[in-house]
Amino acid sequence: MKVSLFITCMVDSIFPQVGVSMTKILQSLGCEVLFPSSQTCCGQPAFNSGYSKEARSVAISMINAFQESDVIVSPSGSCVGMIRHFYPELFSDSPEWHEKALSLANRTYEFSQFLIQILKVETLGARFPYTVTYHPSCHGSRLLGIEDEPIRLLKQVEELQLIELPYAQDCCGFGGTFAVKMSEISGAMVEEKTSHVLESGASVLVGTDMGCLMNIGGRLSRKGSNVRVMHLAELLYEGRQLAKGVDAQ
Amino acid sequence: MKHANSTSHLSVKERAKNAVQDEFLRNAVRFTTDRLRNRKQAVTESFGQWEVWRERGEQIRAHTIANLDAYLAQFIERLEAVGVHVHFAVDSSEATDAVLSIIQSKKARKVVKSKSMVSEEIHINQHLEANGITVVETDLGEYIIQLAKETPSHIIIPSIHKSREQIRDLFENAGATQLTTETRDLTAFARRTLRSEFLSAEIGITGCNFGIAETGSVVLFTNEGNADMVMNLPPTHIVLMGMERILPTLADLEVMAHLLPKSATGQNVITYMSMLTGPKRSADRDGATEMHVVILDNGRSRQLGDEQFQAVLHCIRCGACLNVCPVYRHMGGHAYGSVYPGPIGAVLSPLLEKGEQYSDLPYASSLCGACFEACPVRIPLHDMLVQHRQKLVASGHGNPSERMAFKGYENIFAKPGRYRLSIKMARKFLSPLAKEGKIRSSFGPLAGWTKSRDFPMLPKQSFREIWPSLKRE
Amino acid sequence: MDKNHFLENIAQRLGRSLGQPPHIRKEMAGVPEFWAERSLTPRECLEKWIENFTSQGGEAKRFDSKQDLTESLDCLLTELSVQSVGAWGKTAAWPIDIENILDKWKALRWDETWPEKFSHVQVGITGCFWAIADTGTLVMKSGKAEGRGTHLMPQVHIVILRSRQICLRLGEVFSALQQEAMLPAAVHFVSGPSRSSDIENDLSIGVHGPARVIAFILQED
Repeated sequence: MKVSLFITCMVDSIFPQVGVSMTKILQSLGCEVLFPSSQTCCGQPAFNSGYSKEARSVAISMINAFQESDVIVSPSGSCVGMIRHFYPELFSDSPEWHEKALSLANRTYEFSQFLIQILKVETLGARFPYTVTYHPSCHGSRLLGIEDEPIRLLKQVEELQLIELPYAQDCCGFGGTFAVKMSEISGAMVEEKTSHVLESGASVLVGTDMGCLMNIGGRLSRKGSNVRVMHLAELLYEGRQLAKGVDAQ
Repeated sequence: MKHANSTSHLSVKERAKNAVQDEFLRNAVRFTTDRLRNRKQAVTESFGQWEVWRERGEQIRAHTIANLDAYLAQFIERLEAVGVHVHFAVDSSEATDAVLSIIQSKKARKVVKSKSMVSEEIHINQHLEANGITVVETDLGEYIIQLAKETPSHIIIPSIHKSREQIRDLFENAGATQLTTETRDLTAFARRTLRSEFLSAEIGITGCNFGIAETGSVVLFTNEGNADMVMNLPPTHIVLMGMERILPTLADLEVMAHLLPKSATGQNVITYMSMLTGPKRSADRDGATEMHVVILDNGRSRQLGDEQFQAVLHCIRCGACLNVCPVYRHMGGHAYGSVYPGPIGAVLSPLLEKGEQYSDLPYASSLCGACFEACPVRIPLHDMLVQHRQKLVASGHGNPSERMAFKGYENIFAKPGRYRLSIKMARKFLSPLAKEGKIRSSFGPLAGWTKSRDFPMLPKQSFREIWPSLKRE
Repeated sequence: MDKNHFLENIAQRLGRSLGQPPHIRKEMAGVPEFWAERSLTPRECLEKWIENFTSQGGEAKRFDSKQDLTESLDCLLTELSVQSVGAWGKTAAWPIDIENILDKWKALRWDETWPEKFSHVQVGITGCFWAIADTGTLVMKSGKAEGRGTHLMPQVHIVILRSRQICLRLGEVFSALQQEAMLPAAVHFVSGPSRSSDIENDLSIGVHGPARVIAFILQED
């Protein structure tokens, strides 16, 4: 299967290792991985702030970038949620672009959903001997409808001990520009989220959205915590390397 | 109305900042909302098929509002047929005038009230008190905050922010002696005091949870039974209702009788649901002899026919969205500055008359969508929050520097070449600020972020720079 | 503002014309079908009612004979050392005749006195019209002899009912009410003692209405 990566601006610029891990996992599952290089951002920062015209311009460049792609996979439930739910709405006044937006929406998958729903992955042959807790990001779960896919993937990893995160469904306080605009409330929210992470006692926090993980990780780092924060793709890739006896680093 | 007014010149960001520093408030709000949402989860799980109920709730409300003229007309016709006087108010001043003239025509001096959000919306107490009328709130929480001269901070539990010591002090100022801080003692004082108010008041004012079109019935939900006292003991009963509180049939009320208490407080059932169809009949020995219903628009009708916002009128005022909202949880109700706090308040307040002052409330959300998930009638509050922002930007009232920033964003992110270049520039710009791969500097727009968390340094190579090596494998 | 302007504005914004009937509902009105289609035996309804009513702070006592019921009622009033009892009037819709007890305790009768007097009554004794198993609810209608104040004002409310008055869901009560020529001025659906959590989330009972609601049920098979 030919799979095009929508890597997201955040993974591209700040967390490239997430993209590397995702690429290697998809390749090991037999996918031919492509990277349309004219991709940028899903447009969500502008859209969520009310700048739909600006979001549209960015969305057009994204639709163009993936025009030729069969299937698109992305390491972010939030960005995929944007494409799936809001792109068609953004172009509701243009039948031509509306159709293109719908087509892109129907071809785009979040990483964990793609593995479970499309590739029907049963086991990845990974081993990860640590205690792990999972934060379900709001947009991934509520907007896109990620249910237990990440949990199912984590449960097949050998020696991984999954610990439930208290109040897991609560927002971490990221919310894109919200984190800067309403920084006091956002700061209070991430403080509560990190205290739940620490309360869980897990040594690793895993998630499917780097925005949230950067937020939680940034607070954990400020608190001097040594809880490791990882994207699900990173954990699975590192787990496969561990199982093979290869150091992932 | 100390809280709301003294801070109304501040932005929601500033009010939020103040609220976050109030540890007692935050703990009280967290404790209460946790309790309510946990109970809600338990009760909806044991009830079963909650999504089917929500869907039915949404269908009923959507149908009602889409045909509101017909159902409201039917409701009014039935009210009049059972001898109720009906009044219409386009805004709060018409509503308060209508209430005042009823009270004055009775030469009444004292009003007892049960909890009603519409009465808060039109600030009826201030208006009546300015005209020499005594108004006594009888919901225990409302009574407490009335004594404290404050406004409610939660639509279901208005006194969420008061400690039992504060409540004892307030009661002692109201004439109690030798009161302990035991809930039982405090409640007993309120019972005694308010009972004599019920018996001596000439007018009772209630809200209306639902008005039933097919029967002309006014339906009220309380746990304390105070609305029953208010509607039955004084000779004149005035009902204040938003024009959207209508349900077509009693069969629809059965759905709401499940959705409302389960969503509001996680109770399987409300303790008192009371259905009034007109004033007392000639043979009855109690009940109000005269009943008035004041129907309020106050900006509601403007939402009708609006594709984006009509559904805000589906709301049944349960407060479930407050209880799951992480922003409400950390800043409490008063920081919203409006009588309607939380996600529903952030959506509704700017839409009502004089709503311009609340135009920044839609930004008090991380758009996490918990509000939609909790809403028993599936109002897409998170989408509406974004639509509010769009409206504000489209009307040219957005923040000018933000407008420039997003113009810049468009210029960079809609052009792949500029985007690649800007990553490199950002890396160059940020590298002097980084220590051990972390940025803690509060330079420029980073300040909001770095105040409470670290920002990662951009890596030496972006993914697209690494990509060629991956592709070859 | 006048009624027609008010309603016309609403109709116009909805793209409708005043006087036009509502659109036909695509969905059924009322509760989901699965909910309406349930059926329970009278015995199961009784059990369910008691379970719900007691979980909401109500108290329930059941009896196999009228005599046991009245004797137990008499005992309870003795235990409570009641000074003043109030009750529905003699002509009210009592499910069971308890006049001998009411006479013995010199109950103030609703239709023979002024409602204000009931403010000092400690125990109010009433029947009820229906009970609802799903929610542990008592249904009281207002009437000449069935004052609203009898169940609302006293500290303790004792309610007498027969198990066959218990139906499963609220909708059955609405249907029965709608079969009457006219709805009563007030219908009260009471599901336990008056409660509030307004003081630091601490549950307190009896804040306005009764602190105890005790049901005496005559069980009939």
